[in-house]
Amino acid sequence: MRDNLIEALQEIWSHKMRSFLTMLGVIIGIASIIAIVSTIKGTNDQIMKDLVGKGNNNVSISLYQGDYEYYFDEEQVSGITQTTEEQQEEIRSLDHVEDATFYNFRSYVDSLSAGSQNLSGGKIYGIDEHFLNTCGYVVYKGRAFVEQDYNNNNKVALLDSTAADILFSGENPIGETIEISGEPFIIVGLYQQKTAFEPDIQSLSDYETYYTDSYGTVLIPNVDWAICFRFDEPQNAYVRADETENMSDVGKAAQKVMQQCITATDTELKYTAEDLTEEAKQQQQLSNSTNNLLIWVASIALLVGGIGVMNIMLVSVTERTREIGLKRSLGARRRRILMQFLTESAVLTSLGGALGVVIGIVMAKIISQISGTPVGISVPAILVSVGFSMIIGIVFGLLPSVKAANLNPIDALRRE
Amino acid sequence: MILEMKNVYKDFPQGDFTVNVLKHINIQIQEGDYVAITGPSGSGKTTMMNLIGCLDSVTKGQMILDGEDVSSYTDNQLSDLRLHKIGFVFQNFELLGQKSALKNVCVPLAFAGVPKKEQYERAKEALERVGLGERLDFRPNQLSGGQKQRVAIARAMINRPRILLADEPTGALDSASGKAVMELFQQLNDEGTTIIMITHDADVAAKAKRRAVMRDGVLTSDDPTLVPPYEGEEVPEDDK
Repeated sequence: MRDNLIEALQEIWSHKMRSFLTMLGVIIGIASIIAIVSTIKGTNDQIMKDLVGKGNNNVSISLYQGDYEYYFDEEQVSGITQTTEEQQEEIRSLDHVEDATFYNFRSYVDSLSAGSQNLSGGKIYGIDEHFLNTCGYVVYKGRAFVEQDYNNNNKVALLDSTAADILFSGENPIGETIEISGEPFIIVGLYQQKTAFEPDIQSLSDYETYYTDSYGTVLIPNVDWAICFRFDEPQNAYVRADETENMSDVGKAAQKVMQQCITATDTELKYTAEDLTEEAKQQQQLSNSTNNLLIWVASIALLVGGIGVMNIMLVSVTERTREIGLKRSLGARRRRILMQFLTESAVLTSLGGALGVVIGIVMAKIISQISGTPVGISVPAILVSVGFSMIIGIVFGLLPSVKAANLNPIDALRRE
Repeated sequence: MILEMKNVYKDFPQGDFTVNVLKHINIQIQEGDYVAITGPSGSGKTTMMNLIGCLDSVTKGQMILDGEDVSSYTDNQLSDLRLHKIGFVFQNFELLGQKSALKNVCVPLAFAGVPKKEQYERAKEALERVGLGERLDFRPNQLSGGQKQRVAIARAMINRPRILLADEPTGALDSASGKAVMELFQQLNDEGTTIIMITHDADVAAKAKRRAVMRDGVLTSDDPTLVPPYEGEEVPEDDK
């Protein structure tokens, strides 16, 4: 086998130009397939990341009433308790869960102000110690909440930069006071996303998905929630999965645990994990079907390449008839001759396949530069491509190889 | 006895006809013999060589090589016989142009599954024996005709065959190179190698210990121990 490989490489090398031209069909076929697959995979990955993962793989589990998210107002919710420490820990220890946070939440608050400035339309969260970590936030100025804040019910707050700008118009807000429902809170820090996640915004709905916090957000310790909003309200949760693919399962498992908080039986209340995976999969389906169509087209190039290989291998057998005759007279069995030509053909197309992979990746990068779509290099696709090109070599090399092996040594030796 | 052909026929069908190329061939070659088979063109010499070289099988009759009846051997069995028991030397050397002298000699060893290192050692030794120790890495196009034929002889002898079969070994050589090759044959024969040489050159044939002559597909010799008188059951009508 090793001898055959070396001999095949020598033969290919000794006819460099011819070998390259023979490989060209396979190179073009494989390069097209790799370029298509990489571009589509890149798009799919981006869909998954943007739509589902939103950069940090957080699953949101929210309280619903019927088909709508529960709208907390000034009344106490009945038939539901807060999540217990045990339940929270149970969720954090689920498979594929990295962290989880349980929070209270109001949007479009109008009772939040600093002096004469009002943060109308802003959001406020009552958060636990896990919130910043789970959501991928980091305090970039001042400090985060500490244990004493929670133990002593300290009325402290963190602002995002939008809220800081609106309320303090560029002044340093640290140490200043804001009022939430008439209660004074001291601003101890400013927070932002840990990693700059820049989603691909192409439509108004994308914009709404990613930039709803343009009204500003304020965080306060969850222990202070009842001070501002009268009751200890049931929490919603963010659960962070380790991988985007696991978000759906993680969401379902966490939802099940939180469901235990609903004590009433005759209620429309329920916890629902937002599952964007399905929607993403539908979008991916669309790109996958285009993908399949293009791969069929590229396969035609591969087929033509294979026929080219067969043609050249037939020429090669004719040219090397005397060599075959000699080898047979020196004692080579038919099988050895067959393997020699099959190996040569398979090596030829595998090399073509490997070259095609490299060119395909380069093509995908160029397409990405021109059209702005991301590239996702798929290792399985590369392995399958090289494997497939080898198979093409074997299939299309079979006829010439059998022809070579079946040559009569006497006739072969006599051939000029 | 190393080779015995008993009442061998070889026919080639050609369209509706059958051409009888060899007819009731009988020959007995002993171990260590040096035999020349001569004859004019078209007398059946090459067909005879193909049969002795196990490149073809007989139509009728028996061929016994080294004690085995090989008349009805399969293609693979014939390949193995060629590999281990017969060494070929061709008129046109038939070296692989892309390979060095050393690697050309290694070819039969590779077919026999000899490990690479041993292949090189044995091939080097064989080339040194034919006086080409300094030309191991030369390609055929860098060698003279005589040198090429010596590489071919080294290759033929590398698997220590029972018979060295040469087809017009000096046909493509100048007289000096031809003489050197014949001396090499003599030396090999002196060391015990059985040599069967097909040639139409009477001078070359004269170097052999025994000679047989082919004419119109029939083999004759003035040596009854080499070509025994035909004792056939029945001679076909047209051959009488």
